[in-house]
Amino acid sequence: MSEILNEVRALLLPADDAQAVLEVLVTDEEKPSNPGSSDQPRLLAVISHIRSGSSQAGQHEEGSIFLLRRSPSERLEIQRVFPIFRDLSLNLAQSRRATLDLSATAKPVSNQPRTGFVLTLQPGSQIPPLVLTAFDTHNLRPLLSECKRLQELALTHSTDQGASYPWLLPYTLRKNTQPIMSQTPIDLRVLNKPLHEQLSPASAGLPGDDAADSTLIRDHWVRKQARDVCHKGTYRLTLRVGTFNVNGKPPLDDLAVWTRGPESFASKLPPLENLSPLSIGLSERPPSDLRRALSSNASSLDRDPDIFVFGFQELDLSTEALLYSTSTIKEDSWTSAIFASLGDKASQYTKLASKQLVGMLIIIIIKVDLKPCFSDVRLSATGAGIMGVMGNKGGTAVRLAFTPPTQDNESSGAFRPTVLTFVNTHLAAFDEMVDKRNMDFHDLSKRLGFSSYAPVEAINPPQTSIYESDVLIWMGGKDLNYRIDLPDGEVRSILRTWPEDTRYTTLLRYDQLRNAIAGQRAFDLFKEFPINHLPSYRYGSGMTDELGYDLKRRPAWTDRILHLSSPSVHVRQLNYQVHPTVTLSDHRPVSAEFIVPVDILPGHEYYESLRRLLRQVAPPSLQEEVRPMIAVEDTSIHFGQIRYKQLASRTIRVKNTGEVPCCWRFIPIAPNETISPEWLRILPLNGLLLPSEVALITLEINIGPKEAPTLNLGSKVLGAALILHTAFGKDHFISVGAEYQYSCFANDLIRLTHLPGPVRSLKSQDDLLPENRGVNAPREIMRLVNWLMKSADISKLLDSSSDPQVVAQLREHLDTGTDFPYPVGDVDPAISRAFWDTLWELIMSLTEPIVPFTLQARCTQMTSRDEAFEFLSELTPAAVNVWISVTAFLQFLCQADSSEETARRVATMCFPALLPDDPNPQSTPISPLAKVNFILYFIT
Amino acid sequence: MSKQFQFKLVLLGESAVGKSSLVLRFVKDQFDDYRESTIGAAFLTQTVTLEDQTTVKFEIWDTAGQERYKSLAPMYYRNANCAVVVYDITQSASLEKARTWIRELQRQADPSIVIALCGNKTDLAARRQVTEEEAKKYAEEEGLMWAETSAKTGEGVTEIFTAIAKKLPLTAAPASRTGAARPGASRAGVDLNKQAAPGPNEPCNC
Repeated sequence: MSEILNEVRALLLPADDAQAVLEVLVTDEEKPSNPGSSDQPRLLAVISHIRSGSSQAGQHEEGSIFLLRRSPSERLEIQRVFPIFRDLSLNLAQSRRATLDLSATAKPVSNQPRTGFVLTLQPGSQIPPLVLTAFDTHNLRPLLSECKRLQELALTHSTDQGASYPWLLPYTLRKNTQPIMSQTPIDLRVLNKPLHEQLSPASAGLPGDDAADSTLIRDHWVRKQARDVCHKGTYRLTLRVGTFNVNGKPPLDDLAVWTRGPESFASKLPPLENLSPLSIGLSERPPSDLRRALSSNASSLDRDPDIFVFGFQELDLSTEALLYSTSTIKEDSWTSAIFASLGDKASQYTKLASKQLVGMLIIIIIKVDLKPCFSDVRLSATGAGIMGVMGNKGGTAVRLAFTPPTQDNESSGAFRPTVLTFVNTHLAAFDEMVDKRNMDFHDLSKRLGFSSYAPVEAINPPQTSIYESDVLIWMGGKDLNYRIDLPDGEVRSILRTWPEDTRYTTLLRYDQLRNAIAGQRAFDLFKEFPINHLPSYRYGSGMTDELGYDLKRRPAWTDRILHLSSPSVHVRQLNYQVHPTVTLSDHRPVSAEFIVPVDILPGHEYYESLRRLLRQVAPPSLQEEVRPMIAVEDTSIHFGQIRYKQLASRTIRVKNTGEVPCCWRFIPIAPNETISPEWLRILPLNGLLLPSEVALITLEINIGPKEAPTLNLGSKVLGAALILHTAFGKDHFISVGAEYQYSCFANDLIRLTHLPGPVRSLKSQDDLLPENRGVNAPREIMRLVNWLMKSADISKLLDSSSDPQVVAQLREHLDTGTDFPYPVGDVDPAISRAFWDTLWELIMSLTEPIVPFTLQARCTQMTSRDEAFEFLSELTPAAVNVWISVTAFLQFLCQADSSEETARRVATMCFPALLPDDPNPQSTPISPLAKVNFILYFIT
Repeated sequence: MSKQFQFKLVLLGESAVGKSSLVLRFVKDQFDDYRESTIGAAFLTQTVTLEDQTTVKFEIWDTAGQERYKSLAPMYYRNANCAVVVYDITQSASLEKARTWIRELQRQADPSIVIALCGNKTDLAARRQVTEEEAKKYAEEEGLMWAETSAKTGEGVTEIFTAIAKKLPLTAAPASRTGAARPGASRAGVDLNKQAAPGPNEPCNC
């Protein structure tokens, strides 16, 4: 029972303590005819709280009884809260022995209740009693005496009606298991799910569960406000993380390149401004989806890492090691090798923790002078191999709390710690085992966890999930073991012969892990830095290909490092590398560097703020007089004309005109519909307003290739009604209107050839030329190709970049039919590039590709130029014309320097636009190599 | 113990006929001379006690009368047990509008819906454009309840809601629809899964 007592304590706030617990059955007064519902045991716990005192009496103690139950995930949750005050009565009676049920459907007799005690909990004369049955006489006595003691205390302080028990508020405000005040971070999977997806289903006239929704919105608001109020800046915690499958080999190589980086860290200061992978990804990315090399976005740490995390797999391949092995010989030798590789820096570091399970080892090494900042180190290990428990596959994990260092030592330790969790796993091997790998991931997600008391080995069921962290970094080598779903020869050929800027992006489209994440089958929500390095597996010593990969195994990125963090911690990854010079294993080690901006939040102040804010937004009583009221200032929004890919936004002001805090959310008009039409975005979708506070809600229209196809075929006039619902209040209507300007982007070829003039001059969506009177090819595509043929500066076309504004102007000229403002002749390479990018953007926006998906498999069978040209007869005349004109320009481009390499580069760049993959996951993937070869017939 | 029933009631009618004022009078016994027009739908509740001590709790949806939100109305009258269609006795056009609403309800709403036609603003009888006879005759033809009210003076307001309560089928207890607490389901303590806010008589009112 003491274990359960601790489990209850884990749910409590620091000032509160659990004194006694008792297992009980609830006699369900609502459904007396259904004894099944009372079968699940509950827990009754007596909780005491030391109230430090503004009162003259100084400190005094108050008590409460909690009714707890187990959630389906076996987690304890607080179900009901009864303050122990004068009028609370607790009666005990011997229960009648229940008649044994011998019917076939009943449980075995031995499972039926024995004689027990009936506890009647009566919180006040006006409220129906709660009737419980207890069999555990041993724990019943202490519980009752504790209640009695606390009630006597309550009598001496003459507390009335429990109304002055504010310390219970955080418990009663929570719907979930986790009190908002808990020190344990909220599950990252919950935190990363948008709040509106967590609210109850609601629509116009069906308000949903306003009470539960308000609680979620309030908690979210309170957490954010408390952080904003108390935030004193961030500490840049630097990390270097490595994963290495050593294939049972001893540490013979110098590991420095892996542990410290190609150049010793801190040897120079790279420019660190604006280095967020995201911002670079966006600015570097051409407006078309033809992705280019991401090589320039990597950088490295400007100082020695604060923490090293190394994950090893297959330390020990011996048969006996398959059973749980406790030997640390291998661990020691690898630890020494790591310290040796750190060279003169080694003395600045110390090992904080390590955890080994057979071949899997995770080691945390930290800067010596930061040691006081680390606390609450917990370890965990779980097997996932044979029988689901053997240690040949599985994971080891370390969880630690980092409290940022302070200048003045006295307040050190008073900051709220940030919890970091590192997971090192080795998942199922072999290409075809992808489903097993995904299963292993989910299994380990559940089973890898940490017991409450550090550093106990977690063999008992874990209590803290790996997701209950601020930052979670997951690494694995042979692995995460995910492979590339392409034929062997193809993978090798692409790696060997393709230009660097398309090699990895092409192969990564077939990467099992990327696809599992995209399909939400595993590692959902996790982030991975762009891979711009060679696969880490499998290097051979015998028969190898030119790159050194074993001929028996398809090369793959089996060794990966992913991360997931709280939305308030903006983890920045600086690089992601493989180290081919460390050759001792059949895998190559992989490394990544991170900067984690750790919040500097004074703990006491933070929890005080949480309390204060919770009190401030406590739910109003349900009397009609204090209904929340808000005023929406403009209930009719008109955007005017809106265009393809031109962001338009409007703001609505919403004011709380009532006397109580008001939770609001947008709801759809009808059940199972979306809150707004797909062309309209609302930010934010929910919130909380204090009395007389004003919120600004942004409405955004940004029509892209996803939304435009429908809009191009519909009426120009767009309209929507939005419903802003206030909890316990009313539905406010907001009408939104806009006039869509038709675009030639996101149409199909046939429709484009039947436009009577520029698309913008269409009178209605049906204003088209008769079927047999279409033009030969879309004017818009031909205009771009003609301009490029005549005017482009071909020599610099592939290596320049365009200005998105120029691309936007070109789109407008195509839609309106107006002349391009760029004369033939001497032209800025950036302008030429803008035409090039616009052309590909237009082609990629086509709702049906030039070569329909159904015909693409045929391309791969063409073995000669003649056959390839012959194949074109399968296409519609418009498609043939487009294909011929575009490839003619590409050929012209390649002839300029007539190198085989340029042609290959152009073909590998353009094939995703000319022969795009069928997005239908059921379709058979078509070889990228064959697609490129088909294109090469036309351009060389 | 007396019986308790709960019904969903929706107010429909042209803009500015006094729907929100009728509800305000019924729920709070108040009247505002200058009310802004409703843009949206407000949810309120009020309980009526009948002579036999049966209580009827109305969950009232007061909807916007403006034409441009007409398409949203079905969301509010679906599942409604009763509807009050309001017109302004000083505006004959508003009775026309009321007829449109009634036709829509007869076509689209739950077939068992109880519809009351309500002529509001009897305090302005001097400017009357719709005679009692005309409205009453129409109501009889369509099988509707009918009454005239003044939200301003309160005349006839409680009466029409009470009349509706009596007309509703009190034999079968309607299911709770809007997530409001079921009668008799109130529990001691704080049921965290139902209500974040304990009521005034419940122990943890902190």
